[in-house]
Amino acid sequence: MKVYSRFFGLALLLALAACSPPEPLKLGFLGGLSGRVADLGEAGRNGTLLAVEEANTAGGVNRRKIELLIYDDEQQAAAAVKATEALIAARVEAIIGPMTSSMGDAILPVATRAGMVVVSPTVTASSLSGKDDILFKVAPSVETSTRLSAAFEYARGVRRAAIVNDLSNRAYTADWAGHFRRDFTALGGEVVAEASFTSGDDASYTEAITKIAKAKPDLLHLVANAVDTVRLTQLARNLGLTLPVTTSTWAATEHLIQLGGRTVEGVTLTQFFNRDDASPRYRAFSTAYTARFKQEPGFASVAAYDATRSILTALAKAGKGQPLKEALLTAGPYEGLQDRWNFDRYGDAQRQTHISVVRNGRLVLVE
Amino acid sequence: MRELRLRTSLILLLVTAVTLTFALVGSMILAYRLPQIEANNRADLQERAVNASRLLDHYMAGIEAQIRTQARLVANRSPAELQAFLEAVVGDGETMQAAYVVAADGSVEALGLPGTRRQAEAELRGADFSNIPLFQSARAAATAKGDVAPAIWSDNFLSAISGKLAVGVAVPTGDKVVIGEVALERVLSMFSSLDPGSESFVLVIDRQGQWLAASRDNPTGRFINYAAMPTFQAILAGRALPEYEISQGERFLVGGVLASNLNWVITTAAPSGTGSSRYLSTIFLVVGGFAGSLLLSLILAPLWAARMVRPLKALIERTHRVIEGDYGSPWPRRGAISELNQLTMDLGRMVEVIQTREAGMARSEERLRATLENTPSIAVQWFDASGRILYWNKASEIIYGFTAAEAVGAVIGEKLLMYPDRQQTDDFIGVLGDIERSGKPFGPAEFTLRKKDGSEIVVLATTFAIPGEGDSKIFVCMDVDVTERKRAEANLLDSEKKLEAIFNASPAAMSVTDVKNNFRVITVNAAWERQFQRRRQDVAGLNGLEMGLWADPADRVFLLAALRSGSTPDVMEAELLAGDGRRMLCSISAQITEIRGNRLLLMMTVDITERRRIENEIRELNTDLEQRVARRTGQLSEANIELAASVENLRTAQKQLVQSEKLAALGNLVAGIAHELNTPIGNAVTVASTLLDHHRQISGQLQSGLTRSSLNAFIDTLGEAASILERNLHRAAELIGNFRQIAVDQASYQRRTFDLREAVEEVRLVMTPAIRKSPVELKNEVPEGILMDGYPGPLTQVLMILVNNSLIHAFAGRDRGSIRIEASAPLSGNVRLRFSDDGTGIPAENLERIFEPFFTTRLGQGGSGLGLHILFNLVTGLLGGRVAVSSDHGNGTEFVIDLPQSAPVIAETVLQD
Repeated sequence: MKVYSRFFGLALLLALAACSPPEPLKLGFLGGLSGRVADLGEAGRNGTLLAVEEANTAGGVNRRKIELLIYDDEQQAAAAVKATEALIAARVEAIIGPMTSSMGDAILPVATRAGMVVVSPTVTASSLSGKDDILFKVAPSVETSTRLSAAFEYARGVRRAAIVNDLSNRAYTADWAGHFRRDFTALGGEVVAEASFTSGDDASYTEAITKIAKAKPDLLHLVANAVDTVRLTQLARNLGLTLPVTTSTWAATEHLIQLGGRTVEGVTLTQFFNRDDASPRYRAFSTAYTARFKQEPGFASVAAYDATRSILTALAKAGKGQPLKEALLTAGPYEGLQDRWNFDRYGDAQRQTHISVVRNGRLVLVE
Repeated sequence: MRELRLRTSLILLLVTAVTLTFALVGSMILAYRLPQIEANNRADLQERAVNASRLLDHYMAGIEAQIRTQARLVANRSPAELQAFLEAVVGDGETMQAAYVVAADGSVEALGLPGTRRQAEAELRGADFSNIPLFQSARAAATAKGDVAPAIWSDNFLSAISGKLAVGVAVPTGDKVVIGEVALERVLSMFSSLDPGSESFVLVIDRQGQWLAASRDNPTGRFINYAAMPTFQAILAGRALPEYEISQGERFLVGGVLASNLNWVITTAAPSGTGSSRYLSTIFLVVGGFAGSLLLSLILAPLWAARMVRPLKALIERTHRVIEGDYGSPWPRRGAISELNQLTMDLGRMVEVIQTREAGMARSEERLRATLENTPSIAVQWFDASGRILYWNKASEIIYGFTAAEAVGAVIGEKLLMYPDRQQTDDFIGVLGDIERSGKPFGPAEFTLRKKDGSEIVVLATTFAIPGEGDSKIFVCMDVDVTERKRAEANLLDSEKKLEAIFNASPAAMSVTDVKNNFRVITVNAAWERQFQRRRQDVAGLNGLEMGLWADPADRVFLLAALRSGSTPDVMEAELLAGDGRRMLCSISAQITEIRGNRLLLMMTVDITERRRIENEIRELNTDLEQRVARRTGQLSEANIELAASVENLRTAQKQLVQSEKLAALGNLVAGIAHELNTPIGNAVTVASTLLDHHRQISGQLQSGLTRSSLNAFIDTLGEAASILERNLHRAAELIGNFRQIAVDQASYQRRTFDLREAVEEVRLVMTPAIRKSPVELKNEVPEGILMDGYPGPLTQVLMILVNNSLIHAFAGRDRGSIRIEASAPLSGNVRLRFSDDGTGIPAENLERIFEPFFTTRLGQGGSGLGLHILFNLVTGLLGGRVAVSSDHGNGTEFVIDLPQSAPVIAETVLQD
């Protein structure tokens, strides 16, 4: 009889042998991965992915592996809300994203209701700044950028600016346009024309450029993504407008130059990212990124990488039961790829911004 | 090992056989079949990947052909013509979403868009595409290979024209490049129609690891970068595919190829292991088969076992009956199993043989038993090695009193039976062990045992071993009762011992000598040894002459001669010598007796040396005694006369001392009176002289003229003075009255009724002068109303003696102290008066002597040593009471005087004394 019971014991043991490793930590990424904002989304996704992979190679956070769930917001409010709800249901620790301010506007109510911390690499709209909310912003606010841009343009003699903005990311573009107008006017310049278009609607491009051409401006200030900046600049040149073109931080991705070629030569823009950074830390990141994704990192990659690192640092430092929001506000300052930075009490990053110009097919830092 | 029933064991056998067989066969099936299924699945996947690749190639080749056609048309065509061609190719954008010709410098020369977007064509004309990787690749290929350059397919890229993710094909022609863009949605839709519902899926990835298309849409899968996926890397590098791909915790089997023209990676994947339905169904089949056969064997096994067991049970049943003695019943019928039939037959034959042998053995045993049973007076018992009694014959019953029923089966270590104690049973069992080891019989030996009625029995026992059952031995013990013989022997020995003891205990010295052996000593008794200081072993074998016993050997010759002649003197006196040479006068009496043919001389010698000496002394004393009595009587009468004289002297001295003590008391009395009277009389004198002064003044004023006020004042003063005088004189009279009472009491021992408290108060009054001089306080705590009938004079005298003694002895050198006189209410005619002080107390050695006359510690300092003696006499005599003292030296003294409330009546003459 003994012999048989020993057999059964063995069988039971074998059944129990399949034990599980500690449950992984989940992080969500939300960004536009299809459509004309995919450049920003992909760069952000890649930066986030690299940070997560590096952390997993180093053993995870508190020995828990990190699992990244990636969702596409299609630059559509409904899709963004749906994706956010899916991430909340999957019980992620935090969401990295979205990549545009409009999407930020769209998902904020859902995230706030669920208490889900959202750390956006590239959202900058001032309507989302200076508030004690659940949204953290890694990029400097619109105001910082527009003040610098206005000052730079005024300094090089521009006085009659025309603004063209994209209605599909209104939260950002209207904010940017308003601040630029205010800053430029304050300096003594004048905004002589304002027009808007809807990304993807071919007709609205021509209308907008035709409209501002009539006001005879000496600066075309675009508030649009990279693809649309290329399109609008090309259209302006095709219509014979030779005036200088400046664009918003939104367009400062690698695709601006790849798609625009000579068309965007001389275009100026504002960004907090230095492509020519020679620091070992950035070079190492850049090398790893290029090897992994077969393309160079852009500002969105860097911002997403920094955003992800800040979350992982805060999670590692957070005391038991401490909410992530509180941990993020106290765990800083963070070692960013290019600078040491921290969140202010509203969760807005305070960082350096620069003016860059497209020169000989490269984005060069001028100021 | 646990004992199992045949039925259980058969069931277990069947179940185990089935379980083991199936576990073995099932494991082998699974071990062989499961990897085979995985291999088949993997092969299927690989085939699907190749098929998908072919499909994709075919589809893309169609698109490529259209662009190639365009490329051939480019040369020598105007931009407008080109545009028309391109627009024709794009059509409504079903296959391609844009087609365009890019000049060598990268600028767009001609552009075809779907009908709905024609308007945008103008906007994009002239755009610079020189930085687009696809253009750069096409240019590089054209430079390297000239006109035969192949079409280049791009990775997934963001199109500047559509603003969407797209893949493009570029065909260089001359220094220009024709590019067609295919929307990714198109490719996706092609795959999504592939094998819907299958477990496996197809995934197309570009060289950078970006998702391009999949047969199954996975919302998050689209945005994963696959560059890090091992399968992707293996396909790209042309290596063997990894066995499994692990994605989101699930294991997948994979297949994949690199699409030949496009340089895209086409992978197929399907869940591995239990995720696969083929895999899972195989496991279910094996496990189900196992469970089914187990169930079947569980149902069949008991039935089969029951069939096997039934004939066996019948046989067992029959065998049981044989054991119980039933040899005659029929044996079970023949059954289906030949071995069992054989066994039945053999058992039947065996029973017959046993029956025959049993009969033979029974007879032989009967003979033996009859012999043993009928043996008279030899008790026979059989034991086994543990001491268990196996047999107990009649003689044993008679000798020991235990019946066979009581004895047989008992273990002598547990039940003592005839053995008096455990020690003996243990010894006996030890003996059994010795016999078993050595094989030699034990005994015959004597043992003292016990009968059932408790009386002792001595047996002569022999024990030996005979073969028992198997290897064991039976021990036979044969006992003969020798109690009577032993008792007779013991009695004889006992009487001899008694005689010897009497001989030795005799107070007279006795010797026994052998007449035939020249009167040499056979033995002497202890008294002889003591008397002559010679030891028995020293004198045995010697005669009186040889040991030097006779002071005068002639005495011996005389005695022997007398003995020989038969005219033995009753007693003869002779001087004999002790061992230390001392001479002693002995009276000798001798007698020859014959015991068992031996002529023995029994001689008794008594040492009469001392007796003779005392007799002489007594004689001398008697003559001396009368003279001495006369002399002593004279001396005693003289002493008596002297003593009478000294007693008379002492009595005279005592009287004188008592008298002086009385005088001392009287002195105290007078001093007390004088002191107490001093105050009131002094006051009276003072007032009287004051009054006299006033009288002179008023007289003077009468001469010169008396005022009314002066007269009033004088009269007031006069009244006052008179009242003071009256008070003081009254007090003096009162005091004198008291003293007189005391004096009278003291002097006359008058009997009267008095209050005890008042008597004590009077003593206090009298003693006040003495007390004042000392720091002592006297407290009268006698309650009022205790009336005594007796002699207050002696009582006050008693108290005064006590107070005086306390003042003199107890408080010497102290700065304060108190004396307390208390009395308890009369109890059965007696009053207890308690006098106590808190002074130094009386040393213990003095306490017993204080009532003796003339005992004083103040000899030569005025102490007569009579105070307390007088007190004792007064209390015990006149007052008829008792006195006791107790003192804790250092903590005061207490006198307790018990007095009858009514003093005894005493003759007048005594009082006069």
